[in-house]
Amino acid sequence: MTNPANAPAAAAVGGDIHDEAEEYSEDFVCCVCLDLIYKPVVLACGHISCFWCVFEAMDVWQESRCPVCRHAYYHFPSICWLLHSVLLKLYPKAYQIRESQVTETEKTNGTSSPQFENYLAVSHGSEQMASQCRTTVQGKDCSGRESSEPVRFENNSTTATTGIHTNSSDHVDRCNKQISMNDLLCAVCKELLCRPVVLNCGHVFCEACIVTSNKEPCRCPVCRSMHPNGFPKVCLVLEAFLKQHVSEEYSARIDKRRTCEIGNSSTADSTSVPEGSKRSSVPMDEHLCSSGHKVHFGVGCDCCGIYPLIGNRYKCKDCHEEIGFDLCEDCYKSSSNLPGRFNQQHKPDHEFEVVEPKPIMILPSDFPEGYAPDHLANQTDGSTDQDSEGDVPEGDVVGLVNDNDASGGNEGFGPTL
Amino acid sequence: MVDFGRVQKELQDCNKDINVSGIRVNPKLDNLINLIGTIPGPVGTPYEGGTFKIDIDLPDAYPFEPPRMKFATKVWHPNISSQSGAICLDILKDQWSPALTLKTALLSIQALLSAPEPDDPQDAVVAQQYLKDYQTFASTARYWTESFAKTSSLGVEDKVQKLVEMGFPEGMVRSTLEVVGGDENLALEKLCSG
Repeated sequence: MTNPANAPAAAAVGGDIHDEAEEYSEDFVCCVCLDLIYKPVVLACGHISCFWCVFEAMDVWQESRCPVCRHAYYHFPSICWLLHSVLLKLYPKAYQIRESQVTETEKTNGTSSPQFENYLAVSHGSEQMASQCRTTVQGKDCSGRESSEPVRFENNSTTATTGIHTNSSDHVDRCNKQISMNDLLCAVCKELLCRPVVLNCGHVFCEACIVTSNKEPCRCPVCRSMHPNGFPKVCLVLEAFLKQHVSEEYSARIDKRRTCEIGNSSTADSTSVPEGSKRSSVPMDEHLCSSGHKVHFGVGCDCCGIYPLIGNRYKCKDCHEEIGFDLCEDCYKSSSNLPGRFNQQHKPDHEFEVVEPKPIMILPSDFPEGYAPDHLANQTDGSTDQDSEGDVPEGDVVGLVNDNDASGGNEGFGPTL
Repeated sequence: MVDFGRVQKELQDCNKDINVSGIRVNPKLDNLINLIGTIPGPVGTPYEGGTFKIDIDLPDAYPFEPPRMKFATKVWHPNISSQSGAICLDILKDQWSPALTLKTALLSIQALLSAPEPDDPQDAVVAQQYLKDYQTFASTARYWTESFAKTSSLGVEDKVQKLVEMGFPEGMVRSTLEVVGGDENLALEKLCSG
């Protein structure tokens, strides 16, 4: 959580600079809150929203749809820190106002979002970072990933959160509000991003630098995490920004890319993209069918972001944050030790338990009176269910779950067990 | 909790290009939960020349849930209840997206006025008439527009006088007119009902 002492200071700063906050481009207005995008999350279709806006717009019961294009998706993508730093540098004042607003809201709601640590410093050494990541991941040494960038920004201890306000303003000063070419490089080709795509993990690459095979979903070249939404679409807002901000370099990049394609037509990305986009339309309903009926409504995986979580749910026994820490089977087996998506202080040595889905769709009228206790007795974890909805931080979702519970779900029966 | 920051922005945005779109959204009382939207009847339809008022209630989860909208002005249309003003429009139900706004929703309603969907009716009587006897439908719709959706050019005093002449006490007429925002038809309806 944020150090309370910082919040008033931030608010004061926000108030002081409010009048001179920069005008920002329409491109960077969040389609949900209609404000400057804060902690940008890029969906597989390439559309951008704020972290909280995407989260709240997600569907608790089924696949979610992009607010703009209604493209279906199941995974809550991670924050795109490259865009975050771009916005922070482009509109330092407006962005800080947003930061203090969101921090206030998070404080009132008792929630927390991933914090931006020294990402800018890291991104300058993106080359080094990428190679570090590769070696550690290839060695499958997950604990060694602490040195890699994706962990670094999420692995924020209390020190990181408390220093966040000063940190970001420091960055602004240090970077002179200038966006350098280094901020806009692809970690694979080390060149200016060309037709940028943002993966589920929030990392950005050139479209052509993402290698796909038809058998497996594509993986992030930096953090190796899976990108489950088919081949990602180009993030047009980011591309428009590149075209405008580094226009000469960008058109040079595009030209170069084109000549490459002509010279090497067999591997041209123009062919691989349609393949990928075909795959992206594979409905997640298949997931629903293949894994039986284990759907954990209102619960998401803290690693890959699937929401609602489908299949076996592994709940951390040692994370005490209200929001809880959960993993899906795939992420549990890949022994991921990332901290949570909501700033939970999850550690690799924490223990997990398998939690059954809550029977929230069942109403008392659905079965005879004598049957209800039997049914609930079959629940292996009636007692742990009480706090298992912790993964749903915002009121309306909890409200939904509670409504059902009140009308006959397990919550109402919990104490009688 | 309604995102009031967003609602405020929406109102500002909407009222900025009021001359172009003709679409207006104003608070009904002094909160941002109950609003009144106004759309002009589309040109070339039986609704042309009318000004239609739409009651808007924002649910707690707005913008993640659709705004509740219904016609406050009586309208004769297959997808709008002639009794309650309820609107049959997918984006106000399951096809809502948080990227839509009050203004875009009102624009969609305006588009619905120009392009009725009689196969998915809200008002079966109107829909039947639309399918079987379009001429009667069109003239009824036009008559309803004339009767209910024309903002009269009368000033407030004229309206008061007109209603007083109908036999209502002046004080009551004035307060009722104020409540319904100066719309004499709504005022008359209210005076008659209460």
